Amino acid sequence: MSEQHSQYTICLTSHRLAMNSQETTSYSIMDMEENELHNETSASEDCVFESTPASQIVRSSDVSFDNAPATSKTTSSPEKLIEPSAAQRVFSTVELLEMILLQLPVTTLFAFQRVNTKFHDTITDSIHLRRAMFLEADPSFEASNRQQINPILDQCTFVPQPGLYLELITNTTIPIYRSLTESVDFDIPYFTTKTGRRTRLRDKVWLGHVREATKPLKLPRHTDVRESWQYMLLKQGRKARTSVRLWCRFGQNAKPLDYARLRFKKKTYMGKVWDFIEEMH
Amino acid sequence: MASEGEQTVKLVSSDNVEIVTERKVAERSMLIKNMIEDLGAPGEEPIPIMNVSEAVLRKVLEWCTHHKNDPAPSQDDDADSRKKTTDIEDWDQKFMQVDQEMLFEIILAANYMDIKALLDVGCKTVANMIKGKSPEEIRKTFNIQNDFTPEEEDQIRRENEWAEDR
Repeated sequence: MSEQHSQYTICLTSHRLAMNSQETTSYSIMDMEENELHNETSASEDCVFESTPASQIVRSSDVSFDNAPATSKTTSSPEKLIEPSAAQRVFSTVELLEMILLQLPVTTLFAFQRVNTKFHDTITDSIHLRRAMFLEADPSFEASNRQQINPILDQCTFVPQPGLYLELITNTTIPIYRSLTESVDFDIPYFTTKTGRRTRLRDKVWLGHVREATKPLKLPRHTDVRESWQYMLLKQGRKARTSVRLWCRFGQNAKPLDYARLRFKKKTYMGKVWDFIEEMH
Repeated sequence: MASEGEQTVKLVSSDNVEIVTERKVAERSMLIKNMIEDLGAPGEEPIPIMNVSEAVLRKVLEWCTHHKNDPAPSQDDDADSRKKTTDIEDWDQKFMQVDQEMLFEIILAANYMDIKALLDVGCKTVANMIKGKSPEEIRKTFNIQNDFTPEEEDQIRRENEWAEDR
């Protein structure tokens, strides 16, 4: 058994997404019996992932539509020959557009950036929308001690091949998320909790955390651009040490299951996790 | 002297129509409430509602009449305004079944007259309306011009294509 206890660390300095070059992320690959506490000291740097969307496009001039009179409460624009419709006035008023957009699902907000520059700029500039879109940490989650998993994880086919699945763990050893988009054709493993007890995780333990994919979403679609989901946080909630475990069979008949782990100290970005999966498989 | 509950106020719409309504109803609008407090003698001087036409003002007052006994709006932070889109009460849903122009006029009026709850209902109604639409459909429905260059649009499309057709 201890023979299988091979534990090694791969240090990667180059990432697909051109991260900060001094940054080192260590991926620890260990077998399932590994003691969580023992490894708390393993050298893992914060994963810093730039959160500036690539689509900050500089535009030469404001368009006339932006200057619709609805923005101001007291003035009208007599020089305008054709009065814009009420809808146009609402959609060209940043505060009103923001209020409407705040009611929409996360994926819709990404899609609607393409409507026009007003939509695009409102969505990319609004801190409230950026929090709703998991692009920024939302302090209200931390204040109320709640957590929320990025909703697109419910829908995405994130793991590139069968026999792999992904877990998201914070502090405790109980995962707060587990991908089920691929059929899991192996036994759910044992692992050791912090109190030293060996627990067998059965499905009922997971059920509270697992949601079925409603409409699978294949990520990524394009390889030649930085897609916006890569800048999304994996979760909102209290700042806890987070790690992602990628369970897989190493070799055809390998037993027991092994996992590769990526640790985060602060923010966990989807793009970082994707890089990790890419490196591992 | 009438008690506060029975007092009336005169409002004047942007197209110069005078509408007399209960003070309690009109005070759902923070704009009017503040004006009444500043004027001191409610009911005598007409209050101009500069940006709102008669038809829209009557519609807004209809909403205010139905909601006149609602608890005073709390001073919620903007961050808390994100609620489920489904929670529009039945009466408000029916109230919002108007043509598109009127719906957006109500939103503009609620914003101008500072009636937060009505603004909220209006925004939710629009959100429900646009939820399943593509960017192209949004442009078409509301006559919004696509002001991106083809290169810009292509860049944004490719970055966010994963989120389309959801």
